[in-house]
Amino acid sequence: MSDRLGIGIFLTVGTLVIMGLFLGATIWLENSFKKDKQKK
Amino acid sequence: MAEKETTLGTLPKRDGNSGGLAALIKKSASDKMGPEDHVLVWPNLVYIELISMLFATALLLFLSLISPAPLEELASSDTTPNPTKAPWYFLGLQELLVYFDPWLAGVVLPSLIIVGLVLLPYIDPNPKGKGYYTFSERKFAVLGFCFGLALWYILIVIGVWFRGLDWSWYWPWENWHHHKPITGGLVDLEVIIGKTLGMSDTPLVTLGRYGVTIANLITWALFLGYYAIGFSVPFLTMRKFYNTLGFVRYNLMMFMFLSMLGVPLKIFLRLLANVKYVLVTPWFKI
Amino acid sequence: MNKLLDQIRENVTQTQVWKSIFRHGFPSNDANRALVMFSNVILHLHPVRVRRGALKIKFTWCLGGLTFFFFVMLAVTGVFLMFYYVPDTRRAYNDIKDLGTVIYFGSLFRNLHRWSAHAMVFSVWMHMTRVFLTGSYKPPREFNWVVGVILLVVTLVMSWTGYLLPWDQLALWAVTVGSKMAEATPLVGNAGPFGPELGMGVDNDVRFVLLGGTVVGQSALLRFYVLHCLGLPLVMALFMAVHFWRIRKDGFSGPL
Repeated sequence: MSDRLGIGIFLTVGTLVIMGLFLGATIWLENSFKKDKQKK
Repeated sequence: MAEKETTLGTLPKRDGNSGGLAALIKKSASDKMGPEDHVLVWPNLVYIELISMLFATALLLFLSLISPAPLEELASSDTTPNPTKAPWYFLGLQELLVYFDPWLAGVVLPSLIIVGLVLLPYIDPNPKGKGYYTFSERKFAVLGFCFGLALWYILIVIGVWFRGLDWSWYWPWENWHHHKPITGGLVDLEVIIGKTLGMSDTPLVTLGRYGVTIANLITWALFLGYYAIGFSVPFLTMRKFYNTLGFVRYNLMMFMFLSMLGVPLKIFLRLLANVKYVLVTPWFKI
Repeated sequence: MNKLLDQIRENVTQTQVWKSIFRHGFPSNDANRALVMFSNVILHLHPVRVRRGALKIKFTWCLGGLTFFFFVMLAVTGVFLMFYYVPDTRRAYNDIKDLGTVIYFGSLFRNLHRWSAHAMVFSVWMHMTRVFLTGSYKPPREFNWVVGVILLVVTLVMSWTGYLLPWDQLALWAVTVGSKMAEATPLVGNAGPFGPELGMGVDNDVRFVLLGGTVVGQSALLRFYVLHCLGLPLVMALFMAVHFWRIRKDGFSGPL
């Protein structure tokens, strides 16, 4: 049972981390392109 | 002949060799921009491509030298390796085999992913976020896509690095050469419901091989209820969202979305509530 | 000395032969740079001019182009490997072994082929992610996204069919796992929902069609080989042509 709990936690945290990576990249790129525009 | 004349008549006469078609092409956004926004592809883009190809070649050569392709023993149907793993890009699906029967994990779910991807441009009516990175202008689309992507990748990570002998879960610090005890104790949802509510196992109706008990009917209600509630809540509470999508788009999108959410839901039901199957019939089990 | 070189260049580039091959001068001025793009069939995949913003590496990450590059790499190394490989269960394994021990550059080409395949699968996924995140699948490019999804599927199937060819334990059992899934297909698989009810058995269902038999054996190896080296690359090339053509013809999704 504790093993299953561990798997569940790993799965949840892992999914959130990967999601965060993609979301973080998107938000970073969004802001970075906005800054490029303002420079012009 | 007459038809041809009338068609051509509607087109401007003075127009190079496109047969008048050029005038029909809508000016795209890039045509409206001044020449100062544009640069020549040669050399500006061509050299970026050349350099990226050189980098890719260098990377491939480097990887080829440090990590050669494996060649195990000659194929033999007498000795089965343990565990037998599919190529890494399919390990997410193989990992799903723990939680779903092969017809779902190996056929229906991947097909739904493909169909969902094909439908994607047709069920996303948001005119914003076209051609630039944005999260703020299309939060739901980006969140939903990244969630599905994350689920796909984490299942691959698990399949590659956390599954050992007998497809049991192994943490990196554990001994990977010792078999883990087979943990049973999984029960079908209808059994759990039947026991908790103290119902009898005698079928209400028998359809061929299918003995339908009350507990079984409840699992049907729960399964269909998941979709029914999932479909109706946004419809009732976010009518604007429904209206922008329209009937067909809304139903396709919600079916895909709920099915995607259903995958981790079933995984958690199994991990945390010991549920083997949510719905059992003689022909298929979910 | 310089004069001599100029004279030689003149003599070469002014000949009828040279002029019949290259329809443009050296691309050192704008007119010739445009002519290069017009007259070269491969460069013609590109327009003559692009918007400055589209050149930013952080916009495309070169992923689509790299995917195509990996495909070309796979075609080149694949042709080389085909010279030394016979899809016969009695020979295949030893042929692969020879690549690593007997044939000059055999292991290098095999390694390059394998890593290009892994890289291509991954770059297809990343390319799709990028296209999603920039909303580049939105009108007028919806159909090109669909073509992209087809290319994704073909890429995966091509990788998977190639996995069997070394005919070692890894190959055999990876494909056995995969074909177990085919067996479970609803309606047309012998272990799938409603399969047995519709008369599906081990010798007439979809898995049987895929493997050309009831087990992963000689017929399966031949089928996978032909699909891997001929059938699927043709399908791939066809859809790639459509993909590249449409990206130019559909126009741009956004301000690019």
